[in-house]
Amino acid sequence: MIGAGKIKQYANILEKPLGKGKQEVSLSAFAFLFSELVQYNQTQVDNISELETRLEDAGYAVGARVLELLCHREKGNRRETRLLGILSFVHSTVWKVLFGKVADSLEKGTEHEDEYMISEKELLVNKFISIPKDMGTFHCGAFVAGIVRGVLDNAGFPAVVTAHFVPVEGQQRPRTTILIKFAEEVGTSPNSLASNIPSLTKVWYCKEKQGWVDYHAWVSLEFSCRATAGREAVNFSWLVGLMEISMLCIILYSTVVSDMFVDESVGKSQIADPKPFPTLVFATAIGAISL
Amino acid sequence: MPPAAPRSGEAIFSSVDRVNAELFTLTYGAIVRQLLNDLEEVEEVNKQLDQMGYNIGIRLIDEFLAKSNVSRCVDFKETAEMIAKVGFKMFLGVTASVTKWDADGSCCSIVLEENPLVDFVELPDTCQGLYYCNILSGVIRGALEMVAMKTEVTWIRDMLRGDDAYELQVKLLSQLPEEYPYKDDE
Repeated sequence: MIGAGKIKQYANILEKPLGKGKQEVSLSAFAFLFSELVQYNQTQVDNISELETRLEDAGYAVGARVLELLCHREKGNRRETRLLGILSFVHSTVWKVLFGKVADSLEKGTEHEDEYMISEKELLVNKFISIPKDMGTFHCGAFVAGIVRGVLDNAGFPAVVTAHFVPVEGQQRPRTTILIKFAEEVGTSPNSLASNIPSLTKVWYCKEKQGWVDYHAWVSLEFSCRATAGREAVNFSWLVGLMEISMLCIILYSTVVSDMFVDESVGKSQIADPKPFPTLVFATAIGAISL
Repeated sequence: MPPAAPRSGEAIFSSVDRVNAELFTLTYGAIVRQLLNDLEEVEEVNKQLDQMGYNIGIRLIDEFLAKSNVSRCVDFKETAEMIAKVGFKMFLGVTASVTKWDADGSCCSIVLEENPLVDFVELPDTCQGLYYCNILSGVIRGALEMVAMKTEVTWIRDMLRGDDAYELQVKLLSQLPEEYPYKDDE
């Protein structure tokens, strides 16, 4: 008989444990399945661009789920909030989990500031596929482009993603390039923020620019990211960060703000004894504001 | 115990290229989702999944025979054992068991305890009639038809519908005579 005992039935699928992601199926099983996907879609469309769109939409759904799964499993419920971060997440983590290796290269476009390219010698999905001549520029990598678009879109970086064949000198089969063109609301610098971070973080980020300690931004990012993920019950790191803020505020108060409470005429001896009550009020106020 | 000359499912599985099961699961989910969107009727989706499985099965059998080195199966019992022990293992990485043989050995049940197609899946209320893994029944039907066995494959138990395992009933309808692609008198 198979297994030591029956598999435990879970009342709710959300209670079922996720698994380590180490299970494998044969490549040919996946290749058969993918070929059926393409063949089915061929019967549903009239032209090539529609076929690519349908493959991309199928990939988009996969990408959205892959992002959630990997953020939870590989990155401990953190998500990338910067452009460069999400691109390297796609290039290494996503590729490694889905295709077994990191992508060959990640490049920034030279002509346009908002274009990035992930290159691969041969996409896994294309391994057993040959494109007939009359289908022109059709690329089954549209499925993978859809996966990338799903990941980027749900991470807050809307983009248009397409797959292209790029002929390489000296090699018979062309390389594949996944071209990512970010939408306008995403900035062009590698440090651009995701567009779906709540405004609390944006306020803290501005303050970071004016010279406040770095971890203020870290604390509020952690807090707001977890709030939107809606997964964890409590994130202790933000409580710790809060304590640090309060201590910082007390230090700030005693060095800077206490001047306001010291009577100029009394002189230096008074500074040694800052009033306890205003200290408490001030620290509580800062603590309340940061909550 | 697998015979010495043909290879065991485990050995073949470790020698073929493999991909992450989650990519496979999510791709299959995307297919089912597309079908539900296009066809809307759950019965139609079941039929289409079966047809897709059939198309896969008629090509899968070639790879199965090539990689597993099996000799001709003596009877249907051996065939079912081959499917469960070797076939499922080398393609999906899971082992199935064969149970519930009937009196004349033409009908059996293949039981799957784990199924990589259904990770992360829950059937919504609107799709309760859907056989989510119907592609598997098409694959078995198609593969067996290519080796001259006409079968009927139905789902008996489905974990997505609340049962405790996946059970496929495979019923041998008829043995087709060997057909040669050329005429003898030409």
